[in-house]
Amino acid sequence: MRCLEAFTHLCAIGMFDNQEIEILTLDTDQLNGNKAKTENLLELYSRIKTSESGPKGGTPNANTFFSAKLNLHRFWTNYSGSARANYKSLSKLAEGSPEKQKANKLVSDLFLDENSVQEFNLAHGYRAQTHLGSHLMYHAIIDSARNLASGTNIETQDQELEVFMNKLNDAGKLGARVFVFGSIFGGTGASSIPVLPKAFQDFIKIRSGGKSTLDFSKTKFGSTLLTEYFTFKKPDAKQMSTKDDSVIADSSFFPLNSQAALQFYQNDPTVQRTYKTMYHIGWPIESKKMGDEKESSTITGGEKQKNPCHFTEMVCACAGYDFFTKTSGFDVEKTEYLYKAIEFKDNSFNVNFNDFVGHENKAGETFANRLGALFSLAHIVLTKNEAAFSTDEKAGMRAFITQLEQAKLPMYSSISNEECAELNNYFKSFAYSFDSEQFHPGWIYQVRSTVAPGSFMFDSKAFTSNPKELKGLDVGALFSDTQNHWPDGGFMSDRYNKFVKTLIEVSPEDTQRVNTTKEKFMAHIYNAITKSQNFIN
Amino acid sequence: MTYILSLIFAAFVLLIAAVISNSIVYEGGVNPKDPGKRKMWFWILAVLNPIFFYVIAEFVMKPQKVAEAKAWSAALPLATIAGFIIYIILGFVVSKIFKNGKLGNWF
Repeated sequence: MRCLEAFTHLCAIGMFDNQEIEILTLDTDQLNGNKAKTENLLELYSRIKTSESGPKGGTPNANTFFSAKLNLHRFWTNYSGSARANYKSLSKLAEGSPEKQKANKLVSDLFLDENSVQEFNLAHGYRAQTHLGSHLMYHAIIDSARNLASGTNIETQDQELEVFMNKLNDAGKLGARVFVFGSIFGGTGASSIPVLPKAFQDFIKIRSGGKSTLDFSKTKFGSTLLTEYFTFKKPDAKQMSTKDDSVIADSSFFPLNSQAALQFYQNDPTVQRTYKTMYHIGWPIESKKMGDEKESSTITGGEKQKNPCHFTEMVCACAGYDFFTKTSGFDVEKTEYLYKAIEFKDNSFNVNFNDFVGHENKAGETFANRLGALFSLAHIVLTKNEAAFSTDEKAGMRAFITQLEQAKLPMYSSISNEECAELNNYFKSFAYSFDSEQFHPGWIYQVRSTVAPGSFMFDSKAFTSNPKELKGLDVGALFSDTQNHWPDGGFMSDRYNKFVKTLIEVSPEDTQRVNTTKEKFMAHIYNAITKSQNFIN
Repeated sequence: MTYILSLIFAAFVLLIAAVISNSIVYEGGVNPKDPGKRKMWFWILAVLNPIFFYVIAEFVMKPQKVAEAKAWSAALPLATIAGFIIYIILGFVVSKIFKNGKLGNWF
C-alpha cells in the first residue's frame, strides 16, 4: 500500500500528464492502517481534482500538479465470521461426503501445515504464507466473479472489483498496461503478484460467460519484485500460543523468503507468460526496524499497522512510471527483469534525480522540476503561509489566494475555504504536520529519513523539523544544487519576493488543459515555481 | 514657477514612495502586513510632501528680491495644496497602471 502512496504523490507532482489511471487496492485486511491511509490519500487527491462544475475526480491535465485523474476501486477479501476466519473453515474441509472430506484433507495437509497454517486467523492477511495466500487470493477473485454471475452474496467489494474489471476489459481491447505493486517477501502482495493476471483473466471469462477474455499480448502486466527492506519485532511464544495467531510473519525470514521468491519468479512459466516486465528493487544495507519497540506484541495488521514510508517504495512508484511511459520492451516472449543500482559510498547513499526515472527525454529533469515544485509549494503552504502551525482558515492555500487578491488578481477568490483546507491537508501528508507541539513527518520527510545522512536531491535544511528553523526556511533554496535555487531578487529583496513577482507575471496556458478555477490556480502556481527553479521544461 | 516646482517636488516624493513600496518584500502568512506598509508609506509621504515643500520653498528657495518674494509667498500656499493634490492624483494613476504590482497597494 505504501508503494501506492508513493505513486499517488508521483501523480500529485504531475508525472502522469493527460492520464486517467484506474487503481485497484487489493487487501485481505480491510482495517489495515496503511491501507486506510493510502485510500484516504487517494480520496483526498480525487476531491482536490473535483470541482462543482466538473466530473467527480476532475479531468486529466498536463504540466501541472495533480495532472492525472485517479479512479479508486477497492477489493478486499472477506474473512469475517467464523465460517470464513481461517483456511479450514473457508475451505469447508469438514463438509461433503467422507471420501471428499478425506481427499480435501489430504491435499490441504500436503501443502499447508494442519495446526498452524490451516488455522490462523486470515483477517490480518496471509502472514508470509504465500503458498496459502496465492491460493486464497485467486479463490477470492473467482468467488467474487461467481457471486456476481449468480447474483448472490454480492458485496460492495465485488461491485467495485467488477467496475475495475469492466474498465480493464474495455481498455484491454485497445492495449492496456497493468502495474502491480507488492513485495515478494511478505504476505498479501507476495501472494497476489503471481496469480493476479490469471485471476483477472478468469474473472472476465466467468463474468462474460466465456465470451470475453484478457489477451496478455494486448493487456501488458508489469510488477515490482521488491525484496526485504524492513524488519519488525519478533513474535514471542506467548503471542503465538493461540490458534488465531499460530502463524505470525517473522521478519528474520524475510531475506530467505525473498531469495526463494526470486527463484520462483525466475522459473515460473505462468509468471514468465503473463508479465512483460518485472522491476527488481532491493535494499542493499541492513533493513530498518519498523514499529514501536515498546509494543508488547508484533503488530500483524489492523488499524495499528501504520508503518512509515521508505525510499524503496518511492523507487517502486518510479518503476510504475517507467512501465507506463516506456515505448518499447513489450514484444518479449518471456518476462524481462530490470534493475539498477545507486551509489552507496562512505556509508551513505548518493541519490540524484536521474536515478529515479532515468534521463531519456529529460525525464530526470522533469522529475526534479516537478518534485521540487511540489516540495516548494508544500513549504510555502505549510511553512511560509503557516498551515502547519495555525488552524486559522486564512492560513495555507487561502493565504496564497489572499496574496493574489492583494495584487488585484481575484480570479481564484471563488475557491472555497474547504477546498483550500483539502489542499493544506494534502501537503501535510506530503511533507509534514504538527499536532500541538508534536512533529509528524509526511511522506517525503519519511522517505528522506531512510537514506539520511546521504544526499537526497534536496538540501538537508529542507527537512528540518525544528519549528524555529522552519519559520526561517528559505523556500526558494530547497535544492542541493544552487543552480535550481530561485533568483535571489537582488538588493532589498529575497527569493520569495521575487517568486511572488513571477507569480503575478505568469498565467495558466492552453497546453496545460486546465478548465476549472482550481485547476487554473494549480497550473498558475506550477508555472511560477517552474520558472523560478530554472529548469528547462 | 512655484507651481512647477511644487509639481516636480510632488513627482520626486512619489518616486521615493515607489522606491520604498518596492523595497517592502512580499511576506506571505496569515496576516501579511506588507500591503498595509506600502499604503502607510504612500500616505506618510503624502503628508510630508506639502510640509517639506512649504518649508524648503519658504526658507531655502525663496527669492531675495522683495517683489519676487512677495509673489512667491502669495503663490506658495496654493502651490503646496496643488502639490498635495497632484501627488495623490499621480499616485492614484500610477497605482492603477501598476495595479498587479506593489504600487497597486496604494489604492
